[in-house]
Amino acid sequence: MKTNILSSFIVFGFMFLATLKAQKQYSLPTADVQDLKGQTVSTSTFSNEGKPMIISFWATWCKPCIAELSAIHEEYEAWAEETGVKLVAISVDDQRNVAKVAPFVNGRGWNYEVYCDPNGNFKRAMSVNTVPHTFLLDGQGNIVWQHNAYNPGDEEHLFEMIEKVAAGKLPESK
Amino acid sequence: MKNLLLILGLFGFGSFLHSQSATDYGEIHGNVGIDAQYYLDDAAINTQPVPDIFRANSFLNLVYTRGDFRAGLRYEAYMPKPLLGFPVAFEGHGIPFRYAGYTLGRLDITAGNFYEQFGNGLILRSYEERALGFDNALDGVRLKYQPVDGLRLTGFIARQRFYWQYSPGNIKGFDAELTLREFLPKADWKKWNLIVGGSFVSRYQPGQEIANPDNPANLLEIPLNVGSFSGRLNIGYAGFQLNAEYAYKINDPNALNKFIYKPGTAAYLSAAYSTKGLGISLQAKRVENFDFRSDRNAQGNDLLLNFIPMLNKQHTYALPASIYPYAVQANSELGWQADVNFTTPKWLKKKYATTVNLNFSMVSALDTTPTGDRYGYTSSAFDFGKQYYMDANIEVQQPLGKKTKLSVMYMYLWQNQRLVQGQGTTEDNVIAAHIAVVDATWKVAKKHTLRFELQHLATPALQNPLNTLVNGSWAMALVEYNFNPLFFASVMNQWSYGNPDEKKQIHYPTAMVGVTLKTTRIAIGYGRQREGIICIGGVCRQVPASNGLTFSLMSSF
Repeated sequence: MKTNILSSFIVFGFMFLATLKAQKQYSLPTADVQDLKGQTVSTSTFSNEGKPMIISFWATWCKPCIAELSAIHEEYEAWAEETGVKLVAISVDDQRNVAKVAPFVNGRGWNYEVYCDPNGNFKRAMSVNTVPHTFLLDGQGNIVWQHNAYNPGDEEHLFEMIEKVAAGKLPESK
Repeated sequence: MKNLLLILGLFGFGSFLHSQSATDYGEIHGNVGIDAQYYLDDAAINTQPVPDIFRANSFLNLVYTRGDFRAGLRYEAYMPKPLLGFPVAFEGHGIPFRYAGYTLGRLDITAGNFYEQFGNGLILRSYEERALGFDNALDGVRLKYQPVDGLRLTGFIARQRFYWQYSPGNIKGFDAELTLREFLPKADWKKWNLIVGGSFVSRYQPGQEIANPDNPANLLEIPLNVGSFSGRLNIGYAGFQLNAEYAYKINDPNALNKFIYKPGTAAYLSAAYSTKGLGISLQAKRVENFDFRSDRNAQGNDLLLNFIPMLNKQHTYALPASIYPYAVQANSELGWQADVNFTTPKWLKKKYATTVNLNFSMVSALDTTPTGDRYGYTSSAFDFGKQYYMDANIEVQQPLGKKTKLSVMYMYLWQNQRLVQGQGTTEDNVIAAHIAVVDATWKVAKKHTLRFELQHLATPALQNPLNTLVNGSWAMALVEYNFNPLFFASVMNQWSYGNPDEKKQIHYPTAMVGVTLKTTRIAIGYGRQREGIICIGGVCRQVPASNGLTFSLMSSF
């Protein structure tokens, strides 16, 4: 039993070290998601014509996700005008709630491009553990920044990152 | 030990690839999680003696991609034993999930483990729900092919993961989906959208000797192949959306239907309308004898092949989510749900718009008549049998200013505990409860926020023989402090102050602190965990009472 515990600690140690070695930027993986009409769409078609793009994983049952997307909703027009940014919202709701996603999004008046990922294809490809998880992509489609969890005010930090990316700079990892 | 060396080797390889990722060696990513607990004895809440007082569940996913090639694996460790409440069969460590795949134009091949869902999942859904210790990954070969635009074909042959082993049944599946808009792009579709699909899933399992319960001297004739079919339709016009699926399963005598020969059926219908500021959805389903697994003897959450979507709101506040949750009854269900979302329009000139969600759901058993033979029973198509569950709720969100946001929820809940939670009682055991939640967020200063939650569950002091610690009314309070985006701390208490047995009026305090560093979250907690049921997406897990110190780390890279 003792060797078991020891070996588990060694493995954990390596797991932890592996996570610290975060990468600066990488490209978007390909997976199939559904649009709000139920049509299959490949994530390889995601683009914002050379401008920054936010990819936000959320769910209709996730309170912090709704708080984040509602907070961005209030600023979205101004952000888009200033930086050309587009937000793609990926709902990880399973089949139980998929039919509710469009009424939920429209009921709140959100103007985002919304897709459903009911069996987690894209979520797994993006190594998302928990929602909310927000990614920022540069104009070439490289992931340059990401953050997990949301607290009120986090959107201000996100916007600073978008401004940097729009100006062609790489955001510092913070 | 061999396993460990393999893991270390993989890590070496992984970090090599990692450091080289800018060149043509491809990219490697993944995520990792550790949940550990140190258990303490606590007689007041009936903790069970724990032989291994420190336990941890951990995983590491690695995904490697290079052009059209991909490969990945997941290492899992439950050491020295799985956390309490997780299936004990997880004990050990190893690599239960690994795959390689390649995309060649319109053809995609996966060898090894994969997850898949056909349509709404009525006859096939393999997925992972880590928080529940649920993983019914398939292991075999899968092909996806798109012969022409708009037509998608998927076929596979596989076995299912069963902890550290495989299902006794062999599974074959095929699905075809046609999106007419893509298939006939030149037609004038205006605002119409039409998708049709069909699937087939079969299980082959070697026979076994099962005595006929009606006549124990004889053996039952067990079908070795069990096939299921489904057809689906998705019609959209402007803001309207209609989704219907019907599924049929041939006779599948199994442990959960008590080895009857009746075929199974499932029907699911959803209609939705939405426009800016308003969204409405209606859903209905009827499920009869439709528990489908890759082993006819499996029970609990083991070896599920299909997924019956639940039709009630997915609650996340602690009291409504975990005191009387609903669990899908895949062998007999008739239910419906209505859900409305709206935001107060701009012309009302309110400074801060109000968002409202209304939801009503009701689920009953089917109205059945026993036939007295191995066919089991007959049922009426649309008559409700005994009611399982009902819940009506309203949730209102209102910003009170730039710095304060308020969310209020009220819910009425009705449940027949005997039918929903099964064993233990022979008489109906009806619970009715009123639940109220107030959730307020206050931005104290830039980067500093406080969040408060108050919850109350009022119910007559009914005797619940399944779990007397749950009896009566409950109150809960939570305070959370966030220093964005780095640090958080929270204190929470749940109190069963209304329990008719005074000795069981217990406080369940917990405290937690943690840090979030970009995509890494580390949290340490201390306190009491109430005995109860955790449900995610219709699959539930019983969690025993515990007291102790918890540690969790989640990260992705």
